[in-house]
Amino acid sequence: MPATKFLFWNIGRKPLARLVSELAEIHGVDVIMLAECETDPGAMLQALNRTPETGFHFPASLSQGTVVFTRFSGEFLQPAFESERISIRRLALPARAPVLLAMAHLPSKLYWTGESQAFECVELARRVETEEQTAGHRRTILVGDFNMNPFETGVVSAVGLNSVMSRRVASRETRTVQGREYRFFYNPMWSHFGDARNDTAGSYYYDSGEHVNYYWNMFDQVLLRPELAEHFDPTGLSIVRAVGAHSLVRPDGRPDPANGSDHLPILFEVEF
Amino acid sequence: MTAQTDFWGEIVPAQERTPLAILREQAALLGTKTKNLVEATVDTSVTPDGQFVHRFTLVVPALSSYKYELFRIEHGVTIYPITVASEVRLARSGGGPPNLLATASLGSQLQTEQEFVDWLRRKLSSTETKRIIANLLAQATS
Repeated sequence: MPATKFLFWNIGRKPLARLVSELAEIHGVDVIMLAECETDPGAMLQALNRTPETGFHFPASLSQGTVVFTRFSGEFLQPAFESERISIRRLALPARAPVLLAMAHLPSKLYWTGESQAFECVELARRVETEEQTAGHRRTILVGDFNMNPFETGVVSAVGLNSVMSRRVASRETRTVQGREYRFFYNPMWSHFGDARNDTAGSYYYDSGEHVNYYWNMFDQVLLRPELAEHFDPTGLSIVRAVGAHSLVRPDGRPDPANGSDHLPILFEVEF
Repeated sequence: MTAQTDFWGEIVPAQERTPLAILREQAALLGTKTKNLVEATVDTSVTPDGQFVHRFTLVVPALSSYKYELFRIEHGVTIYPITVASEVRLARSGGGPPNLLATASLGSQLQTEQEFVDWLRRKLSSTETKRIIANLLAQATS
């Protein structure tokens, strides 16, 4: 089954077109999704297509929350639902099974309580279900800056995104709570917590000075429905620390906003 | 019972390139020349009287997918002749700057593939077309 390579990056309103372009080129990215992108789409296209071999397109969208550039024509990525913070698109490539690409940039903890964030996840889950019913399949990729960790209530709860750290558990497809059935997502980001690989222990660092402080957070996530998780190789997912020789992190492993964004990019491949 | 007789004979697709295929080839080439800042699409519809209508449209994705129909051709099931149903031309009024004027239903008849290809080459490489694309490019990158 052919694989498609995705990049998600909250670029923090920084002018990072050149870095995005190099990142896409080095890793052969097919779909670029950028949150907090204030770079004009025309300028981004010029940077992405600086060599004739590339050929990124800017598919039509009404959503400002996440901007998307694809290596394939925009006609293959049609909007299904769009709001300020959510964009759900139908990705239908020739001779490939159609998938839904749902992107979200959920409200920050600076302005929303954990409870409100959790309720927003309920709404997001409901919207994804609606679009799945309309599309007639559940091959959904949900990606974005959720401003929540994979273990938080909204991301884990059945009525929320119902995402789990294990493909084996997700392969059950649903779980039942109080007689109601809820569809799983698989969340591969769990495997990227901690410093086993290097000093970068998440995708975002924040020292809050509160009693409860995780320091490292995994706000940038990709979730897959079991139909896609089945063929997903978790080792193909990475938190990007450098673009060629250009480091995106400081010597202590934290994201370096002076040389990139306060969030690190995530790269992943999905077969469909 | 007598065997059925096949009156159809052998049916094979026509070997010539269709106008739609030619238009699509050219549409695909524009994006590579403009870093996909200005793309071209070809939309086909059929009129109630059985005419195929192909619209050649410029699209600027970075400008909220702004669309600009460059020209439209029509043909029947026999493909040729092709009629240039409408096109947009630049005209100068007095000594002032060029204005965009739509001239509908020009009615030019192109009798063969060669005539169509020659017309299309002139149309796509014309000063008017280049000026339109240059203007769109300028707006897409400003």
